[in-house]
Amino acid sequence: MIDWLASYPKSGNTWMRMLLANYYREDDQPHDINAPGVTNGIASSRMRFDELLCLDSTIMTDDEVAQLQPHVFDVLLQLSPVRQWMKVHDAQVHRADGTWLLPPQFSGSVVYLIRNPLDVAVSRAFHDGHGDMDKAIAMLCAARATIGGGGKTQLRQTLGDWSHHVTSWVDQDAIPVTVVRYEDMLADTAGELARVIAFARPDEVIDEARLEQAVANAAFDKLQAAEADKGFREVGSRQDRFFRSGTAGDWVNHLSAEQVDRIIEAHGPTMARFGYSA
Amino acid sequence: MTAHQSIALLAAESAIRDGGVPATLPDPIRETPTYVLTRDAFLLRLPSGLRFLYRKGHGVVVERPDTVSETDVTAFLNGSVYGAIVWLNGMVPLHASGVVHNGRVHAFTGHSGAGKSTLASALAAHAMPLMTDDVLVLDLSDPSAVVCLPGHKQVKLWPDAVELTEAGVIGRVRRDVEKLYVTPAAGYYPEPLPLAELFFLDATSKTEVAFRPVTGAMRFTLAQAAFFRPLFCNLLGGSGALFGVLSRISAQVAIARFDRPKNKALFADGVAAMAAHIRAS
Repeated sequence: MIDWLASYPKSGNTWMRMLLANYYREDDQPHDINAPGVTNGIASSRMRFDELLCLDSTIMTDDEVAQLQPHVFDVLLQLSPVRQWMKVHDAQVHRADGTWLLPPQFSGSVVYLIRNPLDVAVSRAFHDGHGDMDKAIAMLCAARATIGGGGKTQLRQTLGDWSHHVTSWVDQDAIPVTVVRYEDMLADTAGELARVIAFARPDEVIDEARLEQAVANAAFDKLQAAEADKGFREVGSRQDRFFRSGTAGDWVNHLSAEQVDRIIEAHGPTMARFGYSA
Repeated sequence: MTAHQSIALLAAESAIRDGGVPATLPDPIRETPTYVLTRDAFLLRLPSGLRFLYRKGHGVVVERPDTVSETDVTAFLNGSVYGAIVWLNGMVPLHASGVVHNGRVHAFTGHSGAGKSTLASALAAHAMPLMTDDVLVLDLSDPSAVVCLPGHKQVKLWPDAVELTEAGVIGRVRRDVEKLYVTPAAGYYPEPLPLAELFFLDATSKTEVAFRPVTGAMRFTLAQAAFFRPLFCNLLGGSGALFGVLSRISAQVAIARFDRPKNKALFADGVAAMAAHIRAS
């Protein structure tokens, strides 16, 4: 079964993966940020699609790939029938044939990571290397927003707009879901990590010492230092560094009042539902 | 068998003819929604209705709906089907592109999107012709060397990668796919040659290039990771055959990691560094 770490991009997914990787380490050394850790990659991995289905996805259209994508998880669990964490940025939607994109029959739980979209917009603008806040806001508001696909190492992922993405996961009832706010991770990292593990793996006894070690080893300054030292594979192709700010409320330094209004106008109800305001 | 006999064998085995293809095969050693592998056959089935059946000694039968074009058939035949043919005939396909310098092959492997084809094509500007793109077939019948067979297909690049090389565009791989067939500026090398070095491509936020030789048991790990459809080797040959193949590659081929900046603005730095490394080797 797969436990999904689902999120709109730039919402703390990588940090949660680093926390889990450090928590499950058998020693107290910091986890190598470029090593897989306990998370079995991302649902949209092109390499996994190609290997498991014996196809070259780069000569297929994104729609042809999407048609076959759920089979990847079936074949994966046949080869490796163990409980595993997996990152996913796709919105959880019904496909044309009525089945879910991420199949509930292969799923154990969903940890949905959410972050104030005002900060997501800023982080997105820097991740894409343009620093253009209007462009990033447009993406958060685009009903057909996608990432990946084409020649990229990840298959196309359909996000939709930010509110759609959130509700597609949080309001589905086919897979048990819990919501983790990035801001709560900042305020009580150990507490949120413990809550994630308890939700997805209720039979496990939480090890307080490991929690403490994981929080220390995955502290933002440690991740920044590791990236400066060894580089980070997941950096964007137009980005100088992946671990940039790691804070809440940075939007006040980058967004105009009009830009803030635009995000609130599009996403106000969903923001309010999860305790976000300008 | 000589390398030239291996080339002739693969050409004969990958010859196609139209005909009926069954939905599945008896006695599969692996069956998924898209393929079936047996001890002597491989069946590939696509949602479009396009199906390929390869039987050892009998070539490839293609069943194609009217909506499937010749270019579609060629694209799938030259990838997955060809890789299965290579494994089933006792040769080893690597997921790699390679160039030739001083009578030896220098090959690049890495995950899909790592830039294998782009780097190999860009090295044409340094007078290094292309040995093969995407699938590099190794013939291990000569115990003194791991021999690469010449490529069987045209290079494919994404439009943004074409801009980074001097390759000439031929046309789209498939009608609705942006990837392009191109001609490398230094052409193709037509004869078998020994494999000198295998590089694992990686890209990070660092701005410098780095060559890191791979030693010890990691050589086995990375050599296996370079296989095209690595699962097939285990399924067809078992662990003994796998160990034998990895031992040969580890003993006779230099293996290194090549780390490059992910920033495409620095792409030329990586190409220049690789060209200098190959010339010095």
